[in-house]
Amino acid sequence: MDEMGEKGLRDALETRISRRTLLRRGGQIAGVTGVGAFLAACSGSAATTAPTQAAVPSTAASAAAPSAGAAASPTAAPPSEGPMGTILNFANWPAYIDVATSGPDKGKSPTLLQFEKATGVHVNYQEKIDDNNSFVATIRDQLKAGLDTGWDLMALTDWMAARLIGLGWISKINQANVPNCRANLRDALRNLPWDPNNDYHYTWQSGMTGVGYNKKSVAKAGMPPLTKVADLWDSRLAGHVTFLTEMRDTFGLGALKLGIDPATITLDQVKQIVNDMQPLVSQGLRFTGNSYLQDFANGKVWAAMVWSGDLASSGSADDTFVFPEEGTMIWSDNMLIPKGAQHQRAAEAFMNFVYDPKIAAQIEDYVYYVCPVKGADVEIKKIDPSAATNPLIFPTPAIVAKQHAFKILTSDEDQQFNNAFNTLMGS
Amino acid sequence: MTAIARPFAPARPRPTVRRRVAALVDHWGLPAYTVAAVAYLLMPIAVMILFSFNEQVGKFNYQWHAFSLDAWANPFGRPGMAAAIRTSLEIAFLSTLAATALGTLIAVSLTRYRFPGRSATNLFIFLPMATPEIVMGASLLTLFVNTAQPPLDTVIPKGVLFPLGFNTILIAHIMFNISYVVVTVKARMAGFDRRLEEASMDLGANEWTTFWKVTFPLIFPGILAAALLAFSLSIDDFVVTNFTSGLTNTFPIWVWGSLRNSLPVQINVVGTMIFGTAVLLVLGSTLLQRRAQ
Amino acid sequence: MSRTSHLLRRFLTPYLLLAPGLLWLIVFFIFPTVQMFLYSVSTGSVDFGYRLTWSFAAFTQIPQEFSRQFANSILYGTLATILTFLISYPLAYFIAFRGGRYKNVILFLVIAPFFTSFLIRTISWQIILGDNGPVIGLIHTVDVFHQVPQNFTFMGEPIAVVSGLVYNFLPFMTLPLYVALERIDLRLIEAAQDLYAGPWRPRGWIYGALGGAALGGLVGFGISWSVPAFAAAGAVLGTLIGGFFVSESFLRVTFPLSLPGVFAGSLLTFIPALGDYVNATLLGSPKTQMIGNVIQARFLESNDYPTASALSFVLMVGIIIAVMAYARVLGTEDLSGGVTI
Repeated sequence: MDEMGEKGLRDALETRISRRTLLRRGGQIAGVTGVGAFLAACSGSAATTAPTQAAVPSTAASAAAPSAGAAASPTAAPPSEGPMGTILNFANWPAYIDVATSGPDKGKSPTLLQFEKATGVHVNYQEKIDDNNSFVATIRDQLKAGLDTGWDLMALTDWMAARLIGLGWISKINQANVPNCRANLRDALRNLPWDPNNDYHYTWQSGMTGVGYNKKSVAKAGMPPLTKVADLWDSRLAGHVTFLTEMRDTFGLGALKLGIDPATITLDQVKQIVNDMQPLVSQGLRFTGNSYLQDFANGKVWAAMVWSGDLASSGSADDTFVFPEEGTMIWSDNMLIPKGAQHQRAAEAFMNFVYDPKIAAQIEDYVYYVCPVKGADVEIKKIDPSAATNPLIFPTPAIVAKQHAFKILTSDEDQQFNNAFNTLMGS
Repeated sequence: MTAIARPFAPARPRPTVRRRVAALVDHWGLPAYTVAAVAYLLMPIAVMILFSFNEQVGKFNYQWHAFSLDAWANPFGRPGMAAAIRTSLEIAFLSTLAATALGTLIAVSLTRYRFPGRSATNLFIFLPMATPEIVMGASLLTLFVNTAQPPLDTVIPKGVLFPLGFNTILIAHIMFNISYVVVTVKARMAGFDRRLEEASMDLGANEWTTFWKVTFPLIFPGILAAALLAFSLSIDDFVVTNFTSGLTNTFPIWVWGSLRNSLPVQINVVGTMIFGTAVLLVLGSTLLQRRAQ
Repeated sequence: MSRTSHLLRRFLTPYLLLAPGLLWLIVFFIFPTVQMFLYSVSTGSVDFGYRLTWSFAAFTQIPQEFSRQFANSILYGTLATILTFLISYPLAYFIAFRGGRYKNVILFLVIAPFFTSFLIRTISWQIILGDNGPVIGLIHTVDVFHQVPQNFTFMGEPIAVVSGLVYNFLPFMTLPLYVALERIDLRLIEAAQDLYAGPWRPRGWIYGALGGAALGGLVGFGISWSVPAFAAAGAVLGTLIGGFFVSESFLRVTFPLSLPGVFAGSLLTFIPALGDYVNATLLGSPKTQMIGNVIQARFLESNDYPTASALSFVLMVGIIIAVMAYARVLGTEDLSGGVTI
């Protein structure tokens, strides 16, 4: 049952591969996510991690203070009451929104066009985020100084979202402007410890990290089908395994393998994980983004740590996603309005717009990640019945029960963990 | 040792076997080698062009599947791509212009004049080339952001250095291009015969006329080479741009961004287009020059 | 017009010419670089800001933590420079002296790679050197006796990284060599040919063999393949080249006159190769990571600015020292100036 391989579903997925380039990145797994509430209830641990950031805003505020004289300093009253304006600058990950594949709007996003029609706001949609850290690096100093970053809306992974919120760099959402979000946000995504009332964020998409393998290659190696993370250490696969370049994904699954809870992981446990993985590196283990799909196809890589959304597009019935016995890692990307945004009202209108189940279904039918909007499964049935039962988009309770989130790290921990990870990767 | 050896060497060439082989090798070997070397240089370009006709299966374009014109039919079918390309071209053009002008002035000064501080300047010109791009990029970012804070914000108008965008990429590209221009132009000017200028002055031309009538035409090939180098460095730059681009995407940044997750065939199509345009431009200018002569 | 004003103008002209460009570099290079150094001796974090504490902890950890990546950088950078030089010199020589009416065409072809993106070129190498690529295919086709293991691969090995570096920086070597060679007065070469007896150097093949063996051995070592095999191959090639190609007049006139180009070319290759991380990222594996990868990772992934800054600073200073030493070896009058770099 751990294997996601029903023939019908697979076939249904394959018919749409050509138009679903989906992909994207590296989902940094991470932090408390969609199932944060669930985790908090069952492990009692997720809640302990977030408050570490609480003391921050005062520092940031004092740094920002001298900039009050800046020409168009937007630190003044948030314009969420004001007029909508005519533009919305939205930074997102690549291939993370629906794109029309035919008709006069071919190559454009129907959702963005519909939004413009409904509100008169043109969305300057930029696929500018391919990594949380490098994106935030380009706006950090502006945020610190309370200046306009150029963006009105951005989608960042939980751990980064939690950090920025803790630092006081994110604008509060005027809830009166987002009734759809209030009503339709999936229950599992409410009450997250780092933003319990959704004052600062609404989820854009979620995704899972687990084990993937190529059936043919693994059979050739004389192995039974993979069922758990630990199978990646099997000597029969040596030299034909890849892990992910995202620290939280790789350490997360590594922790699950050793029975460590990723939600409370410590530096010592990270070192344990590194020691556990080091022999594989010597055998030729490589770290990749989602190019493992290519490596699956040419037979070079037989098994890997993979992201849930990827396998739907691999184009090969032999590539299989496994929900490992130890559990999966779960992460979300969240819509945030950076402090200093010039078009907060428009950003809120957009959040509200995409939380309309119809629109959410339209986006989901293209990007194929885990949907944060209640009622989207009903809507998606109308356009794509097979998607409504796909556990990769709408996970079953049994799967949800084994989802783990990575600890929300302090910036010191983040640096130490990343250094350990980079050392493992040779840099 | 050679002084002893030479008296025993043959006084005049005799057509020995070795000599014939040498002649053959000299006559055929070097051209053949050149052809091979050029083929080697062009091989990845050929692969790029070939794979622009690949059929997109899955996310990555690493493996040949089938001939397809899909990507060519819809070359900019990926959001943000066209804008990124235009930005790349504009920045490359403007930064080449500025860096070539500034760099040529420095090169002229360093080769034609002896003055206190010349060696120090020579050393100074080296520094940007001896600096990893990533250092330049990260440090520039902090500089730009600082200009948005007091007291600099009262002096520097908003939009010039901050927020990050077109201007800041341009500034960065001019910065790292200057040294390369200086180096290339100087290499050309080092063999420059000063007597030509002196002759011109003797004949009554002033410095200005001498520069434009004598010096400039002579060093022009060097300047052109420098400009070409600057243009290609700029249009290609990824690291420095990543730190200084803010809202703005250039083509390499766009490619790298998608590379983490996918490799659409369109990247090869655009690469091929840029390559083709460059070839046409160079061919065109050569023909024009020839006609002018 | 008075004589003093003329002299004053004479005196000021070079500075006026320098001023705009130097000013640009001071504001947009020196300022930020000083800032970078200050980061390396600061403590703190990106989110909360850094305080200048003059702590050199970031520097003292380097020998223990990062010597392997520094070693990789130096090894691959050196190999790439030597190989680009060996590949480029005959090419530049041919264009300069024998190019004839094809001179501009060949020159254009040499810089043609510049007209495509560095990233796309490296991606092309991923395809060419990849496990399903033509090179591996050819090797298995030629290998009729099945001496090459089925899982033989370039990707992730040092040879792939070095190949990428060599290819990507080749034009940086060829162009300065060509510029230097093209400037040589042909009459000097003719005079030398009249002066020296043979069209080749006496015992040139011996020197060629020895040099070739040494270089081949170094290449073998660098890409961690068989040193003796590469040394032997190098010796054979060296014998041929030394015996048939390298003349006395070349060694005594042409080559010395082209040294400025050699200097410029090797710097333009070595320095970017040393700091590169794109090739090691796309073509390498954990064991082939270079110092550029570390700097990149520490800046953008770990956000460990002090360490990244310290590494950058060490790299920069190391390069400057190496350049000065190199300039001295090549006997230039002052750094760069005399060598017309």
